[in-house]
Amino acid sequence: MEVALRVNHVSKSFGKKKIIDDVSFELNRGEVFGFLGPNGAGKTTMIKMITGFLSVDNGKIEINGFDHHSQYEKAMASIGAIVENPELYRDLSAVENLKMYARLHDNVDHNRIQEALEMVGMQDRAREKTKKYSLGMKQRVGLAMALLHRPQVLILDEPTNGLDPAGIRELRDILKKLAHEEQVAVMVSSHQLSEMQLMCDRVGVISTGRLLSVNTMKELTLIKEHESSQRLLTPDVEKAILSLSDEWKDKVTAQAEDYIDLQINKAQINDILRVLLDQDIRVFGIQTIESTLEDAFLNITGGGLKIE
Amino acid sequence: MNKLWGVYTNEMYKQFKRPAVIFLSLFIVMSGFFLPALINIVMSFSPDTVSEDKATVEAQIDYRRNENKRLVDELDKATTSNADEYYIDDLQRQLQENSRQLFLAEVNLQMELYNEPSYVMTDSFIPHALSSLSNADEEIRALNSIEESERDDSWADTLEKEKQNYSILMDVIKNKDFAAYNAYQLDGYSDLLSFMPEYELTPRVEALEWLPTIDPTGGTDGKIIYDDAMSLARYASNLKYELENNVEFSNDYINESQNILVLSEDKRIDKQHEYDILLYKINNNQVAESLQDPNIAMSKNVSVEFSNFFVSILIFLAAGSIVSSELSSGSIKMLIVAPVRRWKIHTGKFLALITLFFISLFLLCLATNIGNTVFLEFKGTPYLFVNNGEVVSIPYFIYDFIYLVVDHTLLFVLMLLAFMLSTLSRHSAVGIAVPFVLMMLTTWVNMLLMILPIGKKRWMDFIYIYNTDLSDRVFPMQKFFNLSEYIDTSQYMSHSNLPTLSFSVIYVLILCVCLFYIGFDSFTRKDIK
Repeated sequence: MEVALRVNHVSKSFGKKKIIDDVSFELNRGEVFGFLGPNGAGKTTMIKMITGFLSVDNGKIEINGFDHHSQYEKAMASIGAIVENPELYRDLSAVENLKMYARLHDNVDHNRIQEALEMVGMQDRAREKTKKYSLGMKQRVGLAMALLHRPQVLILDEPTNGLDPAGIRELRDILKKLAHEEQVAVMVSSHQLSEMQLMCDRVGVISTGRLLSVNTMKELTLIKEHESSQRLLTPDVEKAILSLSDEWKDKVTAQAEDYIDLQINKAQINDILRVLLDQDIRVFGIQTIESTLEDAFLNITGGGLKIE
Repeated sequence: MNKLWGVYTNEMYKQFKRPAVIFLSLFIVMSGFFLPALINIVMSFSPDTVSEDKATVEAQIDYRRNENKRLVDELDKATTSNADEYYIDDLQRQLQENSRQLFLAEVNLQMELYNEPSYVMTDSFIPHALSSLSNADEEIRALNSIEESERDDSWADTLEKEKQNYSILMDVIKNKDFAAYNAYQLDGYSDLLSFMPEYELTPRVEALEWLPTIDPTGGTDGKIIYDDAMSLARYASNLKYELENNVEFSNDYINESQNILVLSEDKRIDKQHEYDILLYKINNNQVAESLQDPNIAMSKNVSVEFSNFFVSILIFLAAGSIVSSELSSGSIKMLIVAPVRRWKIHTGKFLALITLFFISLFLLCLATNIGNTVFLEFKGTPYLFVNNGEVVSIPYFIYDFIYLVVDHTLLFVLMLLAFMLSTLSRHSAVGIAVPFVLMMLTTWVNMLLMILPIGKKRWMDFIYIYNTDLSDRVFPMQKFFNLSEYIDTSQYMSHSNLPTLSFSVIYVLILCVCLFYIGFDSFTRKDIK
């Protein structure tokens, strides 16, 4: 896959406090990359460095093969972004805001402005002053602005803030379409796991300025499945545990008066049942306890990360 | 450069969409245009009507006659009772003055001068002619009162001469004949040839020769005040004499005398330029506008100063918030994520501010000129200066605009200060209030420096106050726009001790570069959190 954004050993400090510590990752064309972390983890700082708000203390950022420092304008020409909330000129309409933004790019004409507004469903209210807009409407205009010059890298910081469920779904569809059909590299930061799960192809987890892991959603699903456990409903809990070999005992994660939790996958259910039935232990039922994506992250990060 | 142009265009578009900028621009135009109308209304409360009515003059004559009788009786009593000498002298003076007023009132009635417009009776040569007539009348009465035994040939000649003068002056007043009055005055100087010094007489005669060129009507058409025209003619003839004789008149107001000094080379050049310009104005009929009603010049100044207040507010508002408001509202993000280098953003905004500065001054210039022309018939005369011995003329409106720009050097510097503060702070109030307070302080400090007797010290050359008021030094000949005022005050003014123009220009340039660079450096390096 072609790399659209390359972040190489980037660090940033404010005063003596290190906010980003030696972060490296790549963003490929045609994928939606989730940047996941709790508040204060460094997501926005990282995005602000990529988008030119903050200088880079150490390391290197390359966008579309252009060095972010020495070839700034060429590098930034490939980027469309919404950082934190989209802030528009309040006394101007959406069209006027977009026209102003268009003047800062090459080859953006009036038709493209209309196209971008239609893409985000704002064509009907585009001539109203933006001070009358709700946060959701501003997000839509912000997205239109980010997409206006057909960027090859789209960076959205918490893009679902202020959107209603239908809007979130629309946004998700737009982003997936852009990534998968138009080969745009999309980077989305969020602290909402469920959103990431539905939207992203890959997820990078950041905490206290360090990038802890980068996994595909497929890998995460496998981890999740791997981490699932089974609950055996039985009135003979003590007897059941005594009958298990040491290997099975190690799989017990919890026990109560009428059940035992074992961290085993579905394929192992038959084996454990056979052992228990051979010992005349009554089993009234089996429940699968699904591990959440959060649990998967907690395991990846050794429990050091608390996602909201 | 496309990106820079984009930032610049966006900034201009944004500024002129701001309600505050729209309102302030409107205020500039409205106040510049309508303030002269207001001044016109105020001035119209003292309408320019006829000087007096007939009944008033008749009543005045009755009163003066009665007063004369009373004074004569009182004087008789005082003389017979051997009263105090000073008392008798005082009565004689009162009688003399009353007789003079009676005579003038009788002439007024006889020639129906009360029907003349008031400016003829106050601002033209007529009051001067009346005064001369009254003197001639006094002379004649004095000569007639001489005992017959004491009358000789000289008495007869003098009486004849005074009667002739009386007759000439009566005709002059009756026909408002300024040429005849001027000839009468010139003739009068021929009598002074023997006892008036040449350096006093020559400029006086020359001035009279110039007067008909400056104003052929002697102020009777209400366009030029006769005294002003005379002052101008005297000023020009004095200059001519000084240049021709390489001397300089220096008035000693304490001893009420005139000293004659040798003309220095620097002053010679200045005086030559002044003289060339005055001569050009006189020969090209441009004096009337320069000597027009002081109220009109005042109206122009007041409308400019008043609108100026809104210009300052507009500039400080725009410059003080141009970056800070974007930082505090977050709209700066749109600029930062665009593929535009920071220096282009900063420079684009700076260029937009400069454009706004010029636009607001242009509006000010346009509105005040149109307003004063429409409501007060203001006529600006071209600005004249001497280049290689030739008088060069700049059309008034162009000059007025350039003058406004130069006169707003301090505003330009403070605009840069506001711009700089705007890049340093997210609070627009800082960028707006600090330059505004500084501007107010400058005015007060300037006034204090004028009032306090501390004199001018060398270190003061390095204070911005002494280097940002450039207009008088860039346009030394702008004093000729209000000639009467200039000629009145120039004789009392000591030479100002300001730094040289080149020093001040370099000072202002360095100041501007420093202010710009601090803002530039801050903005281009700034982390926008």
